[in-house]
Amino acid sequence: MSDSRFRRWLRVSLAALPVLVVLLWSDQALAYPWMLRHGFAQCGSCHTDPMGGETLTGFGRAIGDSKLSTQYDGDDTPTSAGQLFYGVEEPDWGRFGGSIRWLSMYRAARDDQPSDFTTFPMQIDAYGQLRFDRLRLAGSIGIAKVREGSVHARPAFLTSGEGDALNLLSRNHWVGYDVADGWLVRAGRINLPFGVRIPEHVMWVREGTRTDRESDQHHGVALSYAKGRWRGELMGIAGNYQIRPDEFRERGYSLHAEYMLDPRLALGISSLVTHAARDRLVLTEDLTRQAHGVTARVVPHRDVALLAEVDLLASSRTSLGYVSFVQADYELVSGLHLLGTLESRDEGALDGLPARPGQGEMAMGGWLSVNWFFVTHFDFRFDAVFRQDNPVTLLAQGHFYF
Amino acid sequence: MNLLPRPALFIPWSLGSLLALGATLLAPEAIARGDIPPEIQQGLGLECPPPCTICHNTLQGGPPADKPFVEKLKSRYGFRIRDDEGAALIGDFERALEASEAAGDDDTSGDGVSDREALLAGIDPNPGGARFCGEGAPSTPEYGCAARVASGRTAPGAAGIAALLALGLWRVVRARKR
Repeated sequence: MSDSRFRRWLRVSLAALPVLVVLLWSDQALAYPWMLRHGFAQCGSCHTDPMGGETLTGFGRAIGDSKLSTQYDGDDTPTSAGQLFYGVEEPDWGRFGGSIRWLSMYRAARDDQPSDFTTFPMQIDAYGQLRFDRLRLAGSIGIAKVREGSVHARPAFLTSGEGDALNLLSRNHWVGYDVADGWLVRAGRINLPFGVRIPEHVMWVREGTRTDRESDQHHGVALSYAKGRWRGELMGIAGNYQIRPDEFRERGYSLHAEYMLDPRLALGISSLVTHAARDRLVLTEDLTRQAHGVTARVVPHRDVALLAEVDLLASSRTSLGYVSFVQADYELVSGLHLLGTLESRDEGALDGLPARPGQGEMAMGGWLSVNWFFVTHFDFRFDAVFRQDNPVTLLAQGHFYF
Repeated sequence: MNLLPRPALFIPWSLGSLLALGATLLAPEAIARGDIPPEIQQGLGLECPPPCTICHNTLQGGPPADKPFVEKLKSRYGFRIRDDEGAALIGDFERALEASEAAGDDDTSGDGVSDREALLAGIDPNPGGARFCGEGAPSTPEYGCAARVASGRTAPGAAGIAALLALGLWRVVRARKR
């Protein structure tokens, strides 16, 4: 084996370590994805979307009040506080909600980049689902204001305000039909089924595969199955029709399937192939992207949940690459989470450019986080992010969901 | 039925809210990031602002800014992108570009066309750089549905639509409850 091939093999092996570590440590399995620790593996138990995220079910609201939030008196009996706006009963045919997240971000000085402090509303969304027998209508609507030049939020814009103007956006909107027990077919703008559905949209696994819930949704048709030990979805991607012109729309498929080996261990696979006539981020013509990976969710101890994902990346403009992460979530007391995350990436060397950490060479990163669900409907989160070749970044966010 | 959190919960609730509010109120004004391309356009007299990809790997900009063209200006000619206050140092960019020209080190792509001439012709000066301006330049993505709103005029419209939708939803829920 040549030296370069050996080094590549070694890098891929190192990237796969997170999933191996998680598997070898498993004692039992589980889900926020870490709600698995409380025995909730199926995202559809708490969310109307069978693959997780956004609108809550009635059960999800009860769990948000009794299991997610700090219980100061030790009584985890659900109360009406978990309901919409602390007490509004939702009708059988509709589920409603929303999220307001405010982020403050400090980026330390590095090389020729001065330090930077910014604060902005990261999310101001309302969402819901109407259900009439087997027919479902779901969607979200919100407002967003991002920096000039930022690619976040823009792919979900409904209006076309430029620069840092406030815009109306819809991250997802779809019509679905429950064709059989556990089976849902839907069409519209949908979260791409891929990887662990974590809330940290800038984690390298989500950025490298472009599969976050922030604004990476696409229009298309999806078939999902969620029942018993299985959970999965296959989506045919027709493109993001909130981006123009058509040459920037990616088309292809995205897939994620997960199987519960036992109540404390869930293993999954993901696969995605897309093609765009021109890439919206780097303007490369005829860009085909591929990502294929494995995921694991494990509960090795009553108070600890581990999440891991490794994805191989390939594209028509880079050499073979990968992204990975492993995250440990320790619930110190009810509702107070301490999180440690390790991530690595080498998205492949860009054609014609020298290799550097993250592109042709491995880059490592780490997050230290505290997330406190201090009272029903509210949480506060602090993250310190350390990434090779990047300035240290501190994030503080307040979150209210209703 | 408890419509509000239990009284004991107001202490942590208030502390958490104060932390979030404090972080928000104490934050200085955000630094605009899209200021450099227009300044390069104006400084060099280009027909179009250059895309972020002449210095960065993606259209969203940096950091890092380490494409060969800007890396050369930084490592050999002392170019700093911003001062300690975060202001773009466009004068420094022009000085570094002139220094590279004086040293005969002004053709990053090695195609016989100087970096300045490439920029003036609307071409990325990096190796394999594509045309970004003029005939044959690729379009850039536009976001949002077909309705186009003039810059800076979106906020009241977006907020108004969102408020109307929220009001409508609230009335539907109330009507169903009756």
